[in-house]
Amino acid sequence: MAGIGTAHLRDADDRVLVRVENLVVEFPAKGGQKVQAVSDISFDILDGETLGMVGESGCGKSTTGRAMLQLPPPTSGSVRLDDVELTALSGDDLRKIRPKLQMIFQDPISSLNERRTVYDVVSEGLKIWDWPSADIPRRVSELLEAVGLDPQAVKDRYPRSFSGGQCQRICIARALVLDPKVVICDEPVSALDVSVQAQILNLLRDMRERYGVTLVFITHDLGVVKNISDRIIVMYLGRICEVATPDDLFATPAHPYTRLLMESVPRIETDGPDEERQALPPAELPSPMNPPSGCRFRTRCEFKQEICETTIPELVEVTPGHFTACHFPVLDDPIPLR
Amino acid sequence: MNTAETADRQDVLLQVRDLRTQFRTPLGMLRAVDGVSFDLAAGETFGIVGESGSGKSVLVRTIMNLLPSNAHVPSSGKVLYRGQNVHTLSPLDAKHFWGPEMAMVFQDPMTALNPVKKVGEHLTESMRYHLKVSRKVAASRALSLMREVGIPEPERRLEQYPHELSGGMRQRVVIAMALACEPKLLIADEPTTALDVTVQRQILDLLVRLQADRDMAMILISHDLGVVSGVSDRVAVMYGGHFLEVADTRELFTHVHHPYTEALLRSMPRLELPTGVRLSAIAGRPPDMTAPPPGCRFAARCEYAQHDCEAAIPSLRPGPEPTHLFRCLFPLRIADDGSAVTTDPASDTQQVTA
Repeated sequence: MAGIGTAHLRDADDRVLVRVENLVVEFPAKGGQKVQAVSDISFDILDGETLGMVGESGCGKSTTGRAMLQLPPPTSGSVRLDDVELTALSGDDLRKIRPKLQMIFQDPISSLNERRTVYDVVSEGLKIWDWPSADIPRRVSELLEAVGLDPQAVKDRYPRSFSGGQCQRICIARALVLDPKVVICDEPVSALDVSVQAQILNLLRDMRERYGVTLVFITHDLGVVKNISDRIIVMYLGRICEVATPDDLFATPAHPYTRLLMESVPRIETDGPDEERQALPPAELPSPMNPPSGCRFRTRCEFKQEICETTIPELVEVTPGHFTACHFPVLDDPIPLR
Repeated sequence: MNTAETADRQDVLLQVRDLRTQFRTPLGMLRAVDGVSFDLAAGETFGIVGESGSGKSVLVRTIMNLLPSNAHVPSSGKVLYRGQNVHTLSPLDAKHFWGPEMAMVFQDPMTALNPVKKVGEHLTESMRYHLKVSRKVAASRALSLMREVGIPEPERRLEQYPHELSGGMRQRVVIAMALACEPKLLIADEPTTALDVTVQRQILDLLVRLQADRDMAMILISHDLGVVSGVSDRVAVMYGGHFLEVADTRELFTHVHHPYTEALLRSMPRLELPTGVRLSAIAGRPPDMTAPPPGCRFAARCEYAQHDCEAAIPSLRPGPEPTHLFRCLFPLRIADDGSAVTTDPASDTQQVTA
């Protein structure tokens, strides 16, 4: 397959819950052109695993998350949940599988209807799926309590009387109330202050333990993705650069883009400003309408050679379980974290 | 001494004294900035870090005298720029003040630029007005500013409209605009928050270089301790409308005295932490500034709080290091003999693995 390869798929593992293959998502652009937001990517997720997807704006991470939910369906490629091919479903069949796939969004305040009470918001899915009405209040209370809210105190209140962190708790309760298999979290802590962000990350960790839910965690924040994920995919301009466990990825980043990301993160500098610091050259993200041939990162890469222009790099295993799509991966050269 | 004054520093550019900014709201008077004092030396970079609602943006807007009409600044508070009170300037004097003396870089570069004006016009407009230079001189200075902020193909970019540029390039243009009249003080309010991390790195490197080249003073506001620490000579931690801790950058992060600063550091999902650790979140919420508590503003969320903390607001006082000020009755890392206990901020995170 002329793509970026499938070496990282775990076919032999019977715990695979979600399998995405050769996913392509195109959007129409002006002048009859097309923008490929996601270009032929494949990955799988084990039951109960948390998959982190990290990259900068325009890398296709959110589009990938939405395409898994068929919102909108991908242009081509396959998304399988257990043994069900989601891209083949439509109408009522697709609707019936939706309770198994839920989503949490970045802005918790705008993703709640301001005219509905917390009870209405959390119970809506249960009513739609015909839960016995006698059981609904108990289930809503259970979830509100699980996310750290006092059911009696909050159920009749409206979203505007809550802080961002509390609204995100309500969104998490809403996403979990139907007992989903997979929850796609699209930048769920990016709009929150750091102290609240820590509360929500800890809560998602607890929910994963308690309900055995599989998470797809989409973020631009390397610290957050390292903290929450079991496995991480680094994306750039619609393609996968690197796949590894957080320990491997951050100990020995192999793709030049992953290394650039890591070196860009502002750390606590106890020595104050470093005026001698080698400034990064200004770099522009290439247009997704007309992405670079071969390796898409080559226009910003310090190691690029001729082959990078002509041949799309495939994902190869550099160390067990650590895959990178680069013709000249950086091997065994850790970036000091302090 | 209840201020972050730096009496021993030469050439004081800005003196802020007991500054308070209040807003009339339906819920009562909101005390957004509630007693802030500090000095800024020429050429110094002062970082202010705080969470949403801490008052950091209102503070710099008060310093710039750019406040909406429902704001009230009691006259006991003062902003003295080279001895001149900024709040008593006439509207015309204030106009001449913004640009050549103080300039500001905002968070969102798209709303700071006029969509129907070319990039070049943004840069030349203020130079023509303030510096009274000819069209030709302004144009050539615009070109060199574009080079200085690292915009590739500056001739072509000057003829483009803001929407034709990427977010990072737009922020470079906003920085070039702020620099156009060679301000002595640049105020940057979350200048990289809307940008991707690799672009953020470039903009921060740019600000550090420009600040050093031009020997310009800078106030940098951010919610990100990492951003502030890498750019600032001195850092203030703001919470509930005032500073809880102020110190030189190195001193602050090696001897954190205030429990809030420590709690912030511990709640950050830092790259150097091991994977999968449970973060130490700060329970509770910041105080309601329409009715702030009588005592320490952080007491309700502080794990070290005692009865005395709720009686009165602790004064901002020095510890073992005279320029390191904190507003806490029970500061951390001060030994019984009054000396500071050095800790390594990265290893002092004491988190429990989940």
